[in-house]
This record gives sequence, C-alpha cells and structure tokens, in this order.
Amino acid sequence: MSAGPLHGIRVLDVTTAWAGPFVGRVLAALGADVVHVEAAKRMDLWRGGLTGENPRRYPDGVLGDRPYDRTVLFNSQNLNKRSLCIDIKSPGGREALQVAAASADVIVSNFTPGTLARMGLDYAALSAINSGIILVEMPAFGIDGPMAGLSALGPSMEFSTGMSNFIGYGDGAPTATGPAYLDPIGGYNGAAAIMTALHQREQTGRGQYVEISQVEAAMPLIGGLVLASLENNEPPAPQGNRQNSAIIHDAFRCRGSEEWVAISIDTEEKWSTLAHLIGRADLADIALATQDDRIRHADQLHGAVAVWTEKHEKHWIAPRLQRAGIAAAPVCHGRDVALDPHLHSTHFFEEIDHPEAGLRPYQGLPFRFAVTGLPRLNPAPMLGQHTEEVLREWAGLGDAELAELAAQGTTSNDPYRN
Amino acid sequence: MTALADLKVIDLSESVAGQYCSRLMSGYGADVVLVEPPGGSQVRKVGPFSKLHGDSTTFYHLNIDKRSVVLDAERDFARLKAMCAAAHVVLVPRGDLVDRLRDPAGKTVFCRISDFGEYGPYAGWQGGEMVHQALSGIMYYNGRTGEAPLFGVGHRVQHVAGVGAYTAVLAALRTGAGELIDIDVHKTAASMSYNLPNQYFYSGTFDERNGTKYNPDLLIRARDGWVTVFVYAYRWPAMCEALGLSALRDHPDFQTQVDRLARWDQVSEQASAAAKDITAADLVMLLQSLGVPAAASLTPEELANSPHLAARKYWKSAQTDAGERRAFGAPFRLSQACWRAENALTTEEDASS
Repeated sequence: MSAGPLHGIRVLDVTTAWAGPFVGRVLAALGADVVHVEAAKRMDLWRGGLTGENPRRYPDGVLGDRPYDRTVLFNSQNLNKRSLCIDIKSPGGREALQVAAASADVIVSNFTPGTLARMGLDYAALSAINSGIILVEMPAFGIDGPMAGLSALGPSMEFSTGMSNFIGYGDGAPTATGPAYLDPIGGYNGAAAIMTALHQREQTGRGQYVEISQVEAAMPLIGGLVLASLENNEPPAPQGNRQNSAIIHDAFRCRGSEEWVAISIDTEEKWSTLAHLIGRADLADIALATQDDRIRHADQLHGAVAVWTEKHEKHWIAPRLQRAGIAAAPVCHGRDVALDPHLHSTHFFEEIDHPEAGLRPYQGLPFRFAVTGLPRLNPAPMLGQHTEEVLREWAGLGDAELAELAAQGTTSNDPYRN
Repeated sequence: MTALADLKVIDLSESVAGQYCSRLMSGYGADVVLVEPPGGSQVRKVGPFSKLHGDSTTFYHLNIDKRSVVLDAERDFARLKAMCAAAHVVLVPRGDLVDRLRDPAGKTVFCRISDFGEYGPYAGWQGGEMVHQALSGIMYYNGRTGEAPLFGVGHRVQHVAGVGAYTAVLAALRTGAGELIDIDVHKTAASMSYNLPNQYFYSGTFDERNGTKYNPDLLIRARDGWVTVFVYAYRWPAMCEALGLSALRDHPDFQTQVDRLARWDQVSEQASAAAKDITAADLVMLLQSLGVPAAASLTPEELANSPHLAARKYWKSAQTDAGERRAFGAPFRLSQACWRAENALTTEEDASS
C-alpha cells in the first residue's frame, strides 16, 4: 500500500458536522496527515452529543459509555484522521494550538468566518510565521455581501442555489434532496479549492487565503439549466421525474411496498425495445420523433410501463432492461446500497477495524490510482486520541510541557470535566 | 494571476463530468484543448437548448475558455498521441483508448472518467443522472411518500464526479509519476449518500421511505414564494413566536421534537397560514434574526438579479460570436489567483498546437 499523493501534507481540520469534515475525508484518503481539532466540551456535532441519539447509528444499536466515539455519522466521515483535543481557553492550550497550526500546510474551517481568528488562527498571524500556509473558510454565502452573515444548512443551501426550484411534483412546492445533499458537494468543492492553492504554491512558494461560498460553488452544478431558463425566459416547471425531451423518464412502482425502478428512454429505437419487453408490441411503432409527440403520448406510455413494472421486482427489472441497452436502476434504500454487487466487486467499501465499533465496511471515495496506489485507511479517531503525539510532532512539545498541559486539564478528552 | 497557468490539458472525456473537470481547470488558468470527434462532442446534444444561441447551454457552460480541436481519433491517431505526450493532463472516457495513448514511462497524468468504471456487474450499464441517483440511495428518500421518489435535477452528481477528478488530477501531478486515475459517477454518488450503507453496516438497519422523519426541515409557503426552515428543538419557541403560533407552541402534542416531527405536516400548514401575508424574503430575515436558519427557494431570475451575488460580483460574461453571454463565477475564491470566464469555446482553424 502506498502513502498516497498527498503524503506529507499537514491539514488542520477545524470543522464540524458534514461539509467541513468531508473536505478532510477526501484529503486524508489521498494520504494527507489530517488532524481534526475539537474541544472536549464542544465536540464535532456529528459525534452525536454526550448521551447519543438514534440507536440505529451505533454499532449493533448499542450507545455504550462513550457514544460520541461510536456513532457512524462521525466514524464514517473522519477516516484516516487524527484527533487533537485541546482547550483554547487556557493560555497554554491556545499557544500550543497556534504553534501546531503554524506548522500546517492547510487549515480548513467550516465554522462562521472569524472563528479561526478568535482561536488565534488568523491568516495574517499564521502567514507571518509560515508564508506557505493555506487558510480555508467555507461559509454558505461567502465572507461579504448582504447575505454573508446568514446561517445555513444542507437543505437551505439547496434552496439558495436555485436547485430546489427545479425539483417538485408540479404543484409549485420546491424540494430538497436527501438530508443535506449540499454538504458532500461543499466537501468535494472544498478539497478542489485546496488542491488549487497547493498547486499554485508549487509555483510561487506562497500560500493564500481561500474562501468557498458553498452556495456559489454549487450553483454551476445546474449551470446549463439556469442559463437555459434565463435565455429562453422559461421559469423552471418541474413535473416529478418527467422530462419533456424524453420518451420515458420516471420512477415506476414495482412489486412490494415502496419499491421503485427508475427507467429512462430517449430514442424511438429504445422505446420499441421496451414496448416488446413489456408485452406491448402494439405501442412499439408510435411516432415519437418530436418533443410534441413525446408530450402527447407521455401519459399513455408511462401508464403502459407502470402496469408491467408493478408485477415484477425492481432488482429483476433493472438488469433485464440494462441488458437490452435501456437506462434503468432499482431505486435503492440503505440496505440495497450496502449490498450493491457492483460496489462490492469494485472494492468501494473498505473494511476498517475501529476500537469501539469493531471491524465494519465503510463507504469509500471514487478515486483509483493505478500507478502509485492510495493508502489503507485508519479508523476515525476517538475524541482526543492523538492529542499528545500531534502536539509532539506539530508543536514540538516535550514530556514536561505535555505533563503540564495535562495537569491543567487543557488536553483532557473528558467532556464531563469541569 | 491564475493558479494553473502552467498546465496543458487535453480533454477527450466526452462527458459532463470530464468537461466540468476541465472547465475548472480552464477557469483557474490552464490551457485546455477540447478534442471533439468529427460531428462534434456528444455533450453538444445534452439539453436544454438556448433559443437565443441555438446551442446546448450545458455544453456552452462547461467549455468556456477552452479551445476546440476536431480530430478523428483513428485517422489522426499519431497527432493525437503526440498532443497527449506534450500535455500535463489528459482526460479520457471509459475503455482502452487510454492504453493506446498513454506512455507508461511518461509524466502525463491520465484520468479516465466513466459512469460505472471499467469492470464489475454494472460496467456496461447505461448511466444518466436519474440512474445514478437511484443507485446511490439518495433518490429513495426524496419527495413525498405515496408519490414517486424524485431524482433531483440536471446532472449534479456528474458535475461532482468532475470536481473529484479535478482534485485527484491535481494530487497526482504532485508525485510526477505519470499516474493513471480512474473515477466514476456511480461511486461518486455512493460516496455522497449520507450514511445509508454505513448505518446498515453498523446496526443492520435502514430507514423506510415512509419511516420516521428525523430532520426538522420545514417548508413554509409565504406570500410570494417558498421558504425552508431548519427548526432546531431549542429554536422551536422562537419560531412559533415569530409567526404568532403560540397556540401551537403550547399545545401538548407539540412539546418534544419527536412529537412535532410526527406531526410535521400540521406545523407546515399552520406556519404557511401564518406567513401568507409575508414575503419570502421578509420571512427569511425575520427567522434569521432569531437565529433560525431559513432560506427562500430562488428562481433563476432571482439568482440573476440577486443583490448579494451582485455585491460579490459573482456573475461573469463570456465573449461569444454573438456578443456577451452570461457565465457562472468562481466556485471558490483564492486571494492570490483569479477565476476566468472570458471566452466561449473557440475553434482552432489549425490544430497543430
């Protein structure tokens, strides 16, 4: 196993919940040395709090004595990172964190802009010590402009990008995607921004300040749709999954309860294939060349497909249609994704042994590096698990200094400590 | 100054994902050549189309600040291979084209971008945004129960695969190893699927489509539009007060977050009734002033006219043969480097470069 292309890059990950930790998740998977900073009394929100929450998110449904070291939310998004737990309210803690931070290549935060500065980690001070440092903040709306101070979460950012306006059943009500689809989008964009700055540093030798408005970074993902709407003066008019340009584009009910298959057909030839497959050869030769033809026949054709799909299981239908060259997929729930045969045969899931959660598979990332490979991932860190080693390596602290910080409680990982 | 001015990129990917990857590269300063087969890139056929410009708006958007070269990969193979050898980065589609173009001893980074990768049971499957969203697990939980799950919009996850490819390529360039990267849209979608598979691996459970609601995101219909609100338990009283819903706040059925979420439709209905005379923009500011995250569902028109985006000089315009045309601004802002959106795709008469 390789060390990864980002081996030797130090990332101080001052983030919480999903979008911010996702940035470090990507960099850590590529081999960066990512240290996740938390305070024992203000731990990452995705640790689920002191007493835990939904038992479904814990190993075998058991919360245990330290549920915050056991939740799948945190443990899946912080693979291959180390945890530094330090109380910056104590002067010694603040100074140690500053020294450690100044040795980093990248500092990334998804807290409100200004939080890093209040921690003593502002760009001016750090870059004076280390001119190569790259400091990254990722507020929803950016650091200036009239909306800069507004708070946001995954679903609200989806509304702010204009995406939700394009998603709905035709009754005008906008829809958000998943629990927080904009979070992993922000995570991928954050990693891309950091790589851009690291690349430029190779040329100039200097770091820089990087600002990611998660909303602005996500807007180009529907760029073509927004531009067409503006240039054609046609406001979005979502109609479920249907698309006027397609012959078939929808999810169809299958055998079972809330089981669905997605089917998409955009050529007359493929429609003819499907018509024969579903026993409706009588519909195979309908003229569907123009968009008007397609709109006129949409209800009839979707109805004919629905009659057929209801009799079969989604996992039977999709491969059968794909073998015939038709785009189709089972609409997967959590277990279906966990058992996805393609993801397993292409080694998407990596089995990792966590001290609290045991040996479990985790969802991976899409990258494969054929020549140099990527590192095997360590489990997500337990709260404060690497505090001492990181302070030794990054801040140069010795036994005496560490003992003093420990005696003051500055490096305690006990969230109950007063 | 641009961040990637030292890079020469050849894009043979023929996909939204690949072309968004190289659009990020052209935006941050790389010299990108889009190689199109005779007859043009497949992405030119991706709808919707502009009535004003008569083209695919997606293709236009993805290919700003690139140069197009039309090449027949078979007939002009020697020239294509030489172009690739002289580039730092080459983006290629699924299949063995890469094996013929790539010199394993060379320094060029190749990135192969596909729907399902090179092998495995779905390797030959037809993709598309809805197929990827269906397989990812995210689609299952979208929309209202009793109606079809909603796939989302556009080609979002395909763009994200492009962002991932961009990150991987810039990482690989650091090693000087002439890397061969594979990235696919299916795995990108699965990597973004919340904790759906991981939860199953932890506890053997998965959430039903019509199961318990966990997230307190609330849809309110205001006078002129829709607003989404994230009602943290500790902000519930503040939200109720702001909307004059003290009866709901004090009602015994709405005292815990679990009880409220079980009756979320009623909350949405009452909040909408209370907000019927307030504009979406005012409702957002009112709730935000109380520390309640809220956002209006913005239309393209509202985005184009957004005072916030105007204050930040977000929108750009690119030169086309027919004059200036709106273009998207920087996805991220670097203090020492700018984002370019200067010219629509230009066609090279002589592609000897």
